[in-house]
Amino acid sequence: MLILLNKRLARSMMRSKIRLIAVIAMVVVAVFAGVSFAAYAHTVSGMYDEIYEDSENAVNLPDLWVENPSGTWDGETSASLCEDIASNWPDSVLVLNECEPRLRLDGTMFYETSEAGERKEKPVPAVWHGIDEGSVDRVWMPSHHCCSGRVATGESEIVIDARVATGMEISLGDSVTIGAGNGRMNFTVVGIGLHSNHLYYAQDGDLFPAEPGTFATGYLSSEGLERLANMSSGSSNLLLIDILGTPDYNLPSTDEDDGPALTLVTQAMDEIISSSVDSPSLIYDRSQVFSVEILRADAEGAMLFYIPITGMIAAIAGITLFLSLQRLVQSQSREIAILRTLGVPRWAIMPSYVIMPLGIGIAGSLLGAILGVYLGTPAMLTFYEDFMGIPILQSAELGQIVMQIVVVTTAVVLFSGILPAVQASRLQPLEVMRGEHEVRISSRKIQKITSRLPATAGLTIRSSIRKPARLTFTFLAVGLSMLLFGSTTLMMSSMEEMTVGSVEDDQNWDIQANVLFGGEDEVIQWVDDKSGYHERIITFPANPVNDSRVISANGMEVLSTESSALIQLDLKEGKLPEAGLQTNQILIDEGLNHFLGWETGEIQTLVFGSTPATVEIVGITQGEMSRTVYFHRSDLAKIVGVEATAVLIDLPEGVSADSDLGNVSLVIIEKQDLISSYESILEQQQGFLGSILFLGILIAIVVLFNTLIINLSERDREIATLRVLGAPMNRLGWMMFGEHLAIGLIGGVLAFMFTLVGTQAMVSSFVQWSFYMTVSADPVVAMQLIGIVVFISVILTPYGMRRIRKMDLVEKVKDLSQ
Amino acid sequence: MALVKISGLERHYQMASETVRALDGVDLEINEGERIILLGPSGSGKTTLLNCLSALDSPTSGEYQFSGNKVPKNESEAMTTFRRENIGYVFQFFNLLQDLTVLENLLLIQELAGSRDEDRARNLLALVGLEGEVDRFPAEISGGQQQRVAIARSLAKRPRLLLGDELTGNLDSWTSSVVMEVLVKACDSEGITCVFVTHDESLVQYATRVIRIDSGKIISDESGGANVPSSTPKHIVG
Repeated sequence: MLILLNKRLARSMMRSKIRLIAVIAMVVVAVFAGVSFAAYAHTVSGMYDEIYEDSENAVNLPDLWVENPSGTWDGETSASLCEDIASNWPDSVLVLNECEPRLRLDGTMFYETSEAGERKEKPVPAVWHGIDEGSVDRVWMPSHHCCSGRVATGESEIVIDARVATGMEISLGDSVTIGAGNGRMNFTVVGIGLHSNHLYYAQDGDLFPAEPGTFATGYLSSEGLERLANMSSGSSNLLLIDILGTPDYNLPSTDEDDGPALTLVTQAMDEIISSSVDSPSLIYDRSQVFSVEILRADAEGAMLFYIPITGMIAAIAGITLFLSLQRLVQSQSREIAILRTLGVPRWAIMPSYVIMPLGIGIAGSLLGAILGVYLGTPAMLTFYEDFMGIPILQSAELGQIVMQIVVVTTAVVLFSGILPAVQASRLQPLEVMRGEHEVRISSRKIQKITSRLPATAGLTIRSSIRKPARLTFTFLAVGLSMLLFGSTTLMMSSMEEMTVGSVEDDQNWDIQANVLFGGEDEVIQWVDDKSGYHERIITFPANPVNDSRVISANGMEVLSTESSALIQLDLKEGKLPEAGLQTNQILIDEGLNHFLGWETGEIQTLVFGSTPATVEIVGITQGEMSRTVYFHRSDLAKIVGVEATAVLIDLPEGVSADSDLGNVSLVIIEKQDLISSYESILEQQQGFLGSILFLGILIAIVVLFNTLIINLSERDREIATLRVLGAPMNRLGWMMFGEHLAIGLIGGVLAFMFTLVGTQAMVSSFVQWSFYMTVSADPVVAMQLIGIVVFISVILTPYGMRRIRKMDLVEKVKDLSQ
Repeated sequence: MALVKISGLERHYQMASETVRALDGVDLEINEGERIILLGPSGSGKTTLLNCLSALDSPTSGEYQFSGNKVPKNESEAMTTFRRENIGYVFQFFNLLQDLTVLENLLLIQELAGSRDEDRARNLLALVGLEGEVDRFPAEISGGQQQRVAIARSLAKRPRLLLGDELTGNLDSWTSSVVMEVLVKACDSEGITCVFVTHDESLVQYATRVIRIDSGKIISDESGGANVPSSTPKHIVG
């Protein structure tokens, strides 16, 4: 008997093939997306640890960095600092393995490009590392087509980053021209590799990967870099401290101290360094190395998000299936009543309605898993390799992941079938035969509200909300599906505003020339020769007291909210600082307000190396992604003893950066390059994000289509009555249009609210010290979202009209008389 | 002049390999004010005839004139317009719209016909004895009351021909007689011509004419138990 009953139900489901296919397709999408995201998350999280580990084929990432931000230590000081560290190593479970001095300098690569058939030299900002054949933080040259050659040992040899080799078409044996503040030199490329500081290939403080040809990094021998920068042997500005094993460290994404032992060592090191040298020094762990931290945060985010994303799509599939099964039970109520009258027990009715979603869940999951493993995962990992430029040597083992996702999705889908199954088994034959199970007394409140409207409008409204549970579920499903679309759109819009928008609209400089300490005069001379305008700025690292997280302290010649300023500040609250006061006045960014709870009017202490400075917060700015404070330049210069670290230049029309400027600058950043770089990255992301947008819209179409079709088919009797009584098609069409418009509008507004809340929750879960953003209700995105839902809803009107037009009134009259 | 003039009306259906002649050459004239009961066994063609009269269905062949004009066929919207302008319909199962109150069910039909007239709707409800139920939902009143609402609804747009298919088939005999009396009273007052399909021989007393049909043909056409109302309608409503 059970087999026959299941066969009956399967045939019924097959009669509404489109709906069946839609539900299976959504299960497929849920599992496909889940497997693809999970494969990405598991692959990258394991991969970084393997790259950083203390082994022959890995790089042996340092556990602590000691940085001299205001200059270099000579060879003797570098060696004595390492000796002091070794001899004063605190009593700790952590054992010092190595202390290696290292020189890392900002510089320039002179890159020849071809513009309109003309060869032109372009100074590209760069970072050069002088690497001994040490055992810490080695160049990574895996057995992969990305990398080749050997490490640099001679003083004219260089290993260039794999992304530079690809972006600038440089091969082994080529000669490259580079500089580090003092002229230029040619180096021979002996290797192509990657470095832990630049695995995520972005310029310092930049969130997005650099566009090919706009940023360079190279790994020279220590002698090579000393020669390039005209420095004495053994000079360094970094001490790389390696501890045996890999100690836990304090993760920025958690509130508690995850690495107390390392924190104690860091504090002890601070005392050692302060007592040994006068210059301010920064001591930090891997959480403050931008590339290391952003990749860890990305992997952590991917691990956190793939389960909710899978669950969300599975939930939408579940809701759609739930509504469809409910409708199926309703349309089969007479059959069920007859079966019950004929003596079929309740327990025999229920299994069919449970087996059906189970079948759909298993079929959809299997198909989704196959597509996820063979299409989604390779596509996702290829996208990652292309976007990040980091080779994936081995992808994660997928068996367990796939099983986990399939089980979760099938369970969600199965669960959605339970209530309709129970409803089916509880139908009372007598009530069904009398038609009582379908009769619902309309809400008196709604009747009163709509009583003054024309009866056609009243009918439209009341029949739309006749089944509030279904409508609620529909809005929930539309909201969830549009959350995918909306959050992506909102994030893209916020990102664009914070990157392209903030540089293009709020900044009026053409070039930023970074200089060695005291090197600004030559740059200013160059600007004066070109009749340009300049402002000196200081960018210096600082940190809160007893907190190693780095804040970028910016000393500005002019602090202004005017649109004509070289850098226009977006003041969220408070006022602009005054210069020259006993307690320096500063502005903080809203990220600092968020993470440290610092408020306007408070007096706080910032530490520059080991020099504390008391400051008064007079305002909060918004729009900065990394943690920033703003001083008057003259105030900051007194604290750090440096007059400028860069010069902002506004050039007359037709004048651009040239080699002369390159020769007197450490790094030249052109505003237009910055904008193009942001635009290019945003464009690269479009393809990937576009597919998420498409997915969201597709799911919303299926959900709305399903509900509106159920609504229509449920009202066949009502519409047939109206048609028999002479209701014209155009009148019914307008009624239907009005209903769809209303559902679309309400659904759209709810979808936007869902999106806003969802995106804010999502953003607040992944913002961290090095990356902070806020999402606001962008009216353009709101209109887009509402417009799309309304469009999807309204576009179904012609389908509904076609359905009514095809209605066989003679048959319907027979139904009406039965 | 006859309100309805039908000659040689045929309606055939193709069922698998055979052709079913649901109507097989029906000739019929109906004068204004007549109340006709169509009697016949199941499958005799009486509902098909009703469907053709209401322009729900198009005859396979034959002529159908209403008030001297040819009734459209095979054109969905023209047929709908014809129904809207001329036909009232009462179903066996009332088919009231559950989301509208009793009064709103009438107003809806008026709005669809392009002439909302709340006073008339209220008067019609009073005529069928439901003036106290105007704000109730259909599910809140009895079957007999629902059928009386359906009658008032069918009259709300002043149809010239009122059709009913087994309109008391769902009611007990006492309620049936109440409904029929209300119907006769309403139709008389409005001067509306009526054709009702039924199995119930007892309804003959309300008819001015009784037509029996079998195998798609009219087999008898005789006077009913009621008198033909005066040709001038009293128009007490609206």
